Amino acid sequence: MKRVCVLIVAVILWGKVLYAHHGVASLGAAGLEGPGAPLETSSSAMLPTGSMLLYTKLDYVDWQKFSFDTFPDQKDSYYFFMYGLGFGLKPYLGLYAFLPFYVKKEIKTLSGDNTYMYTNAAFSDISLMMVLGFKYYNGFKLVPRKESLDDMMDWHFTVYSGFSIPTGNPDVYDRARDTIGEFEPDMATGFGKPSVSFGISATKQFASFPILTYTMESNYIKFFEHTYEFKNPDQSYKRYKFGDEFRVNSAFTFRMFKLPQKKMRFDLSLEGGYQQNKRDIDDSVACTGSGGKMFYGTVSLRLYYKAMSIGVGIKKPLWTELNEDKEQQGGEGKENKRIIITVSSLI
Amino acid sequence: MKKLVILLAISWSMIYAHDLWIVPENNAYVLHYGHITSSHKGKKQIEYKANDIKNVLAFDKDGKEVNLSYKKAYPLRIDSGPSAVFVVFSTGYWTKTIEGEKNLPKDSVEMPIKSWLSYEYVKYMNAWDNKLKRPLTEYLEITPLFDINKVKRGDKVSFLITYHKKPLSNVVVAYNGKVRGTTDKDGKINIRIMENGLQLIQATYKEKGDGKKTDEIIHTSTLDWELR
Repeated sequence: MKRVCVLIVAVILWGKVLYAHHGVASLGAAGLEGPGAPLETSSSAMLPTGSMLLYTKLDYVDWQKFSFDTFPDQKDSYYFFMYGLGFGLKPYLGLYAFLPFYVKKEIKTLSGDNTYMYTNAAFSDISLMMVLGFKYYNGFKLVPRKESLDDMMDWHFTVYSGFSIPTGNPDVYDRARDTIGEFEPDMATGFGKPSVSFGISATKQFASFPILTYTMESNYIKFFEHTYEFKNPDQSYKRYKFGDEFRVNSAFTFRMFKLPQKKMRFDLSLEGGYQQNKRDIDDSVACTGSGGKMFYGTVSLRLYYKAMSIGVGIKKPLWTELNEDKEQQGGEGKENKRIIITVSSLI
Repeated sequence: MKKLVILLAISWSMIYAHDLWIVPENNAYVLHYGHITSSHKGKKQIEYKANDIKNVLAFDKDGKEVNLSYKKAYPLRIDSGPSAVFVVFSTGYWTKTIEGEKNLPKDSVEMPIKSWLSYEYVKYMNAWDNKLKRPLTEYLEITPLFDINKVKRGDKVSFLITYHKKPLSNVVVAYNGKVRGTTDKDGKINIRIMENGLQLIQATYKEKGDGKKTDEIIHTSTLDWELR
């Protein structure tokens, strides 16, 4: 709990949020009475026209560790911070910008039992996203400017698309053991090339049981090959492409209680997320020890106070079918846990 | 979220306002005043003064005003013949002072803090015709845009809020005491009917007062009908 509190303070003070390598920002703002918003699954709530959402997120990853005989180098932990800014251009159209900051820590073996911690921390690739909101009530229609609480209980949907701009540095190498440097693209904070994403979401607050909201989301992230400044032994430049990612998330959010006079609301969310990662490709060769399928479970709490919302959750892999399970330390599906904290405010 | 916070703040004040409603009893429409929808701990029904009844209008199924004989008394009883009846009710000027609230205009008390003139209206509908799908009076009025006899529990239906027969936007509207939202630019709002029995749709609209007798004029309108 103490650690969680420290992390909350960290997010508020530093205001840094995470757009994870292999992570998508949750979008959405919800009212005190309206549909709930899960932590990981993007809700279909749109920003009111002319309003601005300030968003921060921390995704702390604690990787499973194994024997150093098997893995001389092991990912220790990642801190994915992300700043986000959203703007409601129209009732049915929102624009978002995200600035991520990554801290990646790896324990590496020098010789014998001696190890050292290699850390890479820097801003990552800025991303931009556009969200189109629509609903179903007597047919599909764009989200109107004004909706009653009963209108909000209709099925709402979004389609969204975004891309990243390679503002982060992909060419940072650990030179503690090798003066030339070691090629570890998953320890870099930049991807080198833009990535593109597409997604859909659906949200339904149950009219007969309005404390319950169902949210579903699916998205696909496409990465492109980048040529690094790192030279192979044959003096060619290293080319690397991260495996594309496909996700289907589903969530039930329960409004535990609300205190209208204090403008406060407290939600519990239970989420399940299926994820499929393709293999990374290294110099046109599909990498072993990458990619696979996994299913995450997330339990989270969200507190709304006035125009602010704070969410805290824990996410764990519940099922995995990784391509080379025994080789994938430090890859998705091999987390001990992820702790996710979000703070957002509507202006 | 910001809008909903404002809405909730308004809803809090609505919860503590009085309700005005009409129920059919023994071939008559009977006017009641008190707290039917709120969790207010005050009396469920309050005996009102006959003089607080300012006007009573009646309409046939074509929306035409019909003559009505009634006696200003507590409780007000109106013959249940018309398709719709509309009652105008006012407890007059109220002023908040350091000694509490007084039923007087602002210029009649010492050290006024805040003052308001309260008007409450209630429309009871017993029958339906498409011609009733329009405002019948110049007052703050709620008009159902659907057949009240065909609506079922769980249906989402539209209401029109008018003042001087013109649509009013951004008016806070409640259903059975719970705020459901504000009207759109066309004065409309959608509400889901969730309970059987007496239906109460309420809307509140505030106008600036003359500053002498009152700071503001508060109009509260209720639409009543029985969902069978």
